[in-house]
Amino acid sequence: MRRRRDQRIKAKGLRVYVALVYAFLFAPIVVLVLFSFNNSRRNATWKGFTLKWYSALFGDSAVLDAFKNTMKVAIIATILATIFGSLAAYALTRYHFRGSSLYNGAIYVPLVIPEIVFGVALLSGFNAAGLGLSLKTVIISHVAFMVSFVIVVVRARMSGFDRALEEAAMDLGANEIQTFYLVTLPFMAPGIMAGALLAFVLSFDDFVITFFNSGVGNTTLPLKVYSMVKFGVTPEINAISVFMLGISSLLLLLTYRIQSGERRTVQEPDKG
Amino acid sequence: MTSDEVAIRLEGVTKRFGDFVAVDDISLDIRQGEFFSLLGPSGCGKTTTLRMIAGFEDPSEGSIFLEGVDVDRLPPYRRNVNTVFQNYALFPHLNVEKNVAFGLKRKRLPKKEIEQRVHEALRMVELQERGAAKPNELSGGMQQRVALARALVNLPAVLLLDEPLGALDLKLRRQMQLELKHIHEDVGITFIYVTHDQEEALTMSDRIAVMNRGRVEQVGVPEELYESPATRFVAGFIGVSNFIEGPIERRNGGGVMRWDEGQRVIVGAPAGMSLGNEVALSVRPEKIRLLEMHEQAPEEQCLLLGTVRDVVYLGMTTQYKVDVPVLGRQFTVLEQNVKVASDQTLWEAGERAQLSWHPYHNRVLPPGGEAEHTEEGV
Repeated sequence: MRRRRDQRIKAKGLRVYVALVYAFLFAPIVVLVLFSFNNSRRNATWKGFTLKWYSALFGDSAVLDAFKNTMKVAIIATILATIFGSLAAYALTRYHFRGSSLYNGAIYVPLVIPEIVFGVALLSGFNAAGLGLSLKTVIISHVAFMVSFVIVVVRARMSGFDRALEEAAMDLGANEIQTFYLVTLPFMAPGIMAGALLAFVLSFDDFVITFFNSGVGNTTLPLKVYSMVKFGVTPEINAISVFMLGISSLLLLLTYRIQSGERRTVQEPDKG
Repeated sequence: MTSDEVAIRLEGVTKRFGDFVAVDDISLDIRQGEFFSLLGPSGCGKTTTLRMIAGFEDPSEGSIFLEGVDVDRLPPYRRNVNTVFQNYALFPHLNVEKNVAFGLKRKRLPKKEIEQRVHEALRMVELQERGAAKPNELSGGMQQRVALARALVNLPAVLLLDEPLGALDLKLRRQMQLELKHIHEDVGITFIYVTHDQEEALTMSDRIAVMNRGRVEQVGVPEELYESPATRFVAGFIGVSNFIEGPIERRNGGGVMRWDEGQRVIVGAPAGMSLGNEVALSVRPEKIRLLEMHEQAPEEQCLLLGTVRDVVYLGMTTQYKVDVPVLGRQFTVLEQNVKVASDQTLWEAGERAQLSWHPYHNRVLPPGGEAEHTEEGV
């Protein structure tokens, strides 16, 4: 009897603990979302529901410009990083060449290096090269760190690739180019898609690297939020944040869906 | 054999990987419509040979002719051969129908014809119901059939099969062996079949090339390989053999090895055998009779004395391991379990026995040669 009661108390305790952890993680976000709909300038008391902060946001040309810049950077950088990253992942898994293990390890450097160091390094690089800061330098910086993420994701996919599939395609009359498009690329596709989505999210909300390499007048959304926060957290900021949160969550959800789908279709080759 | 009956001709084909010689100067003629097996232990070069015919590897030396045409410079997609891969290599993103249609689509055949031929091929392997399934939804045996249909639907001049049944369990393998054999008879395409399983090769093949260390040891029909092994390796790899070595002396028209207590192994007169030299022979276990010590073996029979060490009752037969002191070897003897007399019993371990057989069953092996092949994981 006693043991059962103890267990009941334990189970209850665990539930409280878990609730606290989730509250700690999500309460600030919930508050942020709620107050973006609050009919008051102050983020303190609830004064009723409104959408006026959102309409103010979409009427604010500075915010809209920042959003356009962010999208431009994210889309172009994602396309470039996905192409470079996928090709690199293909080469690294498919061929062994001098220094290929060094390359394989070096991929992790942009993932673990402090972002501020990476940002400063790129900045001094652009200065040395005589490149004036602009959206172009932002795009280059983003590609530089996104490529690694794309490689890691695509390489993981390619590690399950059976070369016999390419031989089978050639055996059945497909030349090298057809083999790549008809067999290799479709196999890589889920990895490429997941890598691209991840890269897009990273670019979309990047602050530190963008901050160092954007120069004057090339504000992206995260930079805009930062400059607005200097004058206190206003409901407009809440609204922008909710908007960004929505886009990021959507893309991450999509990435997750693709990757879990991919796990189901990976064929386990039986060993003979 | 005229040249238009030859589907594939290998002429002095050699393949080196760095210093390692995987295939060493192989010449073979494989006939139109033949079921031809390349048989040997792992690492003997059989798969490399197959891959050179398919075009995945280039020979270091020598030439390969497909229906009389030198295909050395042709990439795999320009050769009229198709392969069934060891792990099937089905395209995971395509369903069964699209897998099978892959080769026909590359040939840009009319859509109607592709559909019809895919349908026929799937019917042949009894998978017409599963056309829409993805490969990973199928069992190993079904995937194997899809791989077969995908290759055969193209009606290649030669079908190459690389241990296609290796991943299947024994029962399914037996069943697929027979099905493959039937399909071969139906389509009339030349099959080249790579396997390390001698039983499988004997069951299915018209002719077999036994390979070892990159070389072809012997080419022949299954019976020839079993009854008249040309080398020590073949004698040991195909079935079980007992080996006898010793100096030979002259005996009217032939030779004989003699030991004390009347023990003798009589040899015919093989060409080029010089008397007085060491000679190596092999004899199959089922050719030898075990006689009681008091029985009298006919003078023209071979006779050795031994002690039974091991008795394994196998139902239809009993296998004995018998120590033969004069040779310092253990013989394997296989006896049919037919009771000749009502009081006849099996031999028991420790009993002394006479081993007797007709000299006709002795096979003279070339001197030197390979060490005996010991069965590994077969």
